[in-house]
Amino acid sequence: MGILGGGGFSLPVITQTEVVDVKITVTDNALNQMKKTMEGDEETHCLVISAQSGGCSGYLYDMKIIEKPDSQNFQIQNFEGVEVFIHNGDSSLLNGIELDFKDTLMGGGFNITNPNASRECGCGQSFG
Amino acid sequence: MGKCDYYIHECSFTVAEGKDSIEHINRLITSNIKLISNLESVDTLICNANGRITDSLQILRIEEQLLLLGNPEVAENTRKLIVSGIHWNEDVRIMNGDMILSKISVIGSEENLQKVIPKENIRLNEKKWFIYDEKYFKKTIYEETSKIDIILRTSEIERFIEEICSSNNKLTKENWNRFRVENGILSFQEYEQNLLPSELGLDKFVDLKKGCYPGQEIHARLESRGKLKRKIKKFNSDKNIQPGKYNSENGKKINITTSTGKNGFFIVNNLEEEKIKIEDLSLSHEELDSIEIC
Repeated sequence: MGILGGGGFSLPVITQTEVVDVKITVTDNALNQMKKTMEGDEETHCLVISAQSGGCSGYLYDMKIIEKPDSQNFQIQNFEGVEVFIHNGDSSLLNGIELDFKDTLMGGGFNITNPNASRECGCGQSFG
Repeated sequence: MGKCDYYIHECSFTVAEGKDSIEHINRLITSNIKLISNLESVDTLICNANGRITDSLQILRIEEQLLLLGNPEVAENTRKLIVSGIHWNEDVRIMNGDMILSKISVIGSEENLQKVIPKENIRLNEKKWFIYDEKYFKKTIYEETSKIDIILRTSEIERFIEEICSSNNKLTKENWNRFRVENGILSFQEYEQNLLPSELGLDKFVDLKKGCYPGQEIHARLESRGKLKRKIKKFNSDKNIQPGKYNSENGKKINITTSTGKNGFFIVNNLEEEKIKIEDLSLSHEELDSIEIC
């Protein structure tokens, strides 16, 4: 069993406690692109925007269109039928972000401006 | 029993478990632990986005769990960082083991250390930890002596010391620092100086090929075209000197991080061979041959 198991004790689990009400904005370009990408799956799918540790600046953005997860730990905003999910654990990192889309051959794609970030990586995927 | 010295460390213990824990911790540190095997440990660093060291960790894999030994002075910040970056869809749980676990180092000759290990005929492997009676052992060999690190439950520490170390000598922090300085082992006194890994000679704990981690851009730039502004060295003084910041007579800024009186570590800018004079004392200095972290 080893040092960490058995022995009649369990270690205290550390959890993320800071949860804030999230409000994000989405530009017209980003909304149009989200609708295009969803291709009519708005009823069953959503866009999840999240943050995870890593990248050059401390945190990495992650965006995925997935089947709607159990909404229990998420905050949801609806943009003309497209639902954006943000997990409570990411709420303090992502509150206030603006989601934009740039339709250019180089450096194009979704782009996040984050008021909580004191620095951002050159590629735009990492912030801290 | 032959004579050894032992030291009870002040350590923070954090446990990460869940199937994504290695991937998660790997994104935060300067080394690559993706291939870490059971009972293997990796010494590594956590840096901020400016590339400066914020904590040093020894990461030990115990089956599906990772045990992270860090510096208690910054443990709260390190744990906050680890917890705040867990992806919503990842299976990672972070636990605090500070009240449960302890670490002891026993130092002595090879022959005497063999008697410390409570099972005959087991020679410890330098690369892997060895488990016996719910305690973890690892040996490190230095030039003139060897050290066995032991991780055990805090509730067992008294009994263990009585059984194994009773005829041995408990080291004070000052004596432990003496051992550190002799063997090039850095500690929090060095990490807290807001330095880059290269400035402390810790490049071997930085893997620039593993992909992005906080501070990686700075480390990569330094490696490709940078020049170190500061460097850690070992000093010998003709009089006792306390840790602190000094200006030398020849205009150097001297930051003594660890001093055992007349020996220690210091950080200095662009130093050649010259001796350093600070008021009425004189420091000679040398490069550190091998540098370890604890």
